[in-house]
Amino acid sequence: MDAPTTRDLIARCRDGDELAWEALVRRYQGRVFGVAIHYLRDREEARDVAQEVFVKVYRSLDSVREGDTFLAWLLRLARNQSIDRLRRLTARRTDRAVPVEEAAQLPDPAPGPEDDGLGGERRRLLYQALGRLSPINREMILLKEIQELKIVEIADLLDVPVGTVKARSHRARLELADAMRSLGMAASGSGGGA
Amino acid sequence: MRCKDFERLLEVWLAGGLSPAEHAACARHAERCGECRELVALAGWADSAEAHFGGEPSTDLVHGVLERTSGTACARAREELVPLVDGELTAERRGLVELHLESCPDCRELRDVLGGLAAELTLLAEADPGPGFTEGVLARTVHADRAAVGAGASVGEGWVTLGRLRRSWAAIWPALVRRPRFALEAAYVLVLVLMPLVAWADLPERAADLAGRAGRAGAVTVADVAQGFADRAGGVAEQAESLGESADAELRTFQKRVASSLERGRNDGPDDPDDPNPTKGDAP
Repeated sequence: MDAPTTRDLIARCRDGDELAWEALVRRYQGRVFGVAIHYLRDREEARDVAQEVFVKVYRSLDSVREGDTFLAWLLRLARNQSIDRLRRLTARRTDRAVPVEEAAQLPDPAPGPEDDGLGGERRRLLYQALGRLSPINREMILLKEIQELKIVEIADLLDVPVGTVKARSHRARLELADAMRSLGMAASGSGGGA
Repeated sequence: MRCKDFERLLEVWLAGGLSPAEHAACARHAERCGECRELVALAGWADSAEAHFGGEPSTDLVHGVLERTSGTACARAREELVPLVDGELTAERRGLVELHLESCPDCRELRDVLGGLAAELTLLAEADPGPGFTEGVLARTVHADRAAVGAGASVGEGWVTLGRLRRSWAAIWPALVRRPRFALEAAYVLVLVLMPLVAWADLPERAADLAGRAGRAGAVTVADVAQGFADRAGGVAEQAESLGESADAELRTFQKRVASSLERGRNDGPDDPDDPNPTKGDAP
């Protein structure tokens, strides 16, 4: 039996179907948590933010976007919530701020599914390479390459022209590739050879 | 055939790409023209040199030329690598970039890393939030909703009930409106609402009359209070007047005492004006 579409799930959620709501949460929790962990780099904070995102979705089920644009809407919400939390954390713990270089050495904060085809060492090095990027480029990689948002959606999200998104995306990928090379990471398949 | 035509066709001729008629024309011209025949010989030497040295000019030669002319093309190639990996380059452009990659190991490695990135990065899209996450969300949404409904909507969770009612109403309303009797029912409700309003049409006048009466009653009360204040003020004035009279009497008595003392002093004789120690008993 085919899984219900997101549109169906949202419609059922609006009718108060709790099973549909649980299915919706389970379907998108990895994505939302994936965004939060990239911004916050702290599992507990990311979990809390991800939960807040879903609570907000639940509160605004009437205005939730349906169909193809739901994921983009959800990721945008997750991104904004994560940035808000990051700002609050930064203001609260300026004395505990982690320098970029140090952050790049942080262990992988978000282990993925074991059978996703990405070895643990490779995943750790990828995160390490991502940690070396500038915040703008890291965000661009997150939105464009990791979450696979469309250029137009990213432009809308960041409130910048489409051309700017394209240019930034190219720069970000090159910077990431350079970072991976400097970490001694060859192309995928050859494993991390740091 | 003129020499210019021959030179234009030379490369294609050597590559064997001319039609038989063009080939024959070129051959005839080369037989007659010494300069063009020399060109053919030079081309032959070049071919034999390529065969002798491995078929290509050495990489060092290319680098040397680039260094002395345009500089290396790596920066331009980097700009084209992402579109190359994404398959967005035209065939012509792709050929140029790939030609550079053949002789540039750095750019080639960068291209290989870029090529593998896309597939790997998408695997980072989802991360496992750990056990209990879904249950946590349900506890803060559905279960909170249910608890709020059961407990009569506490302050903290009131919005949950409100949101649910709103959603329910949003679901019911369209079906309600589409019912055939809806217009009749709406008119009935409207009449029920308007009738009391018509019945109480003179309500403002009544209210004004009531207000006038209240005003008059209020004025009487204020006058009584003012009279009371005035009476009390009169009493205070009388007391002040009697106090003034007694003070006046005391003053007159004091003046009489002073006058009699002065009279006694005059009868006893005047003080010595040079006396440095006047008697203290004379002090007023």
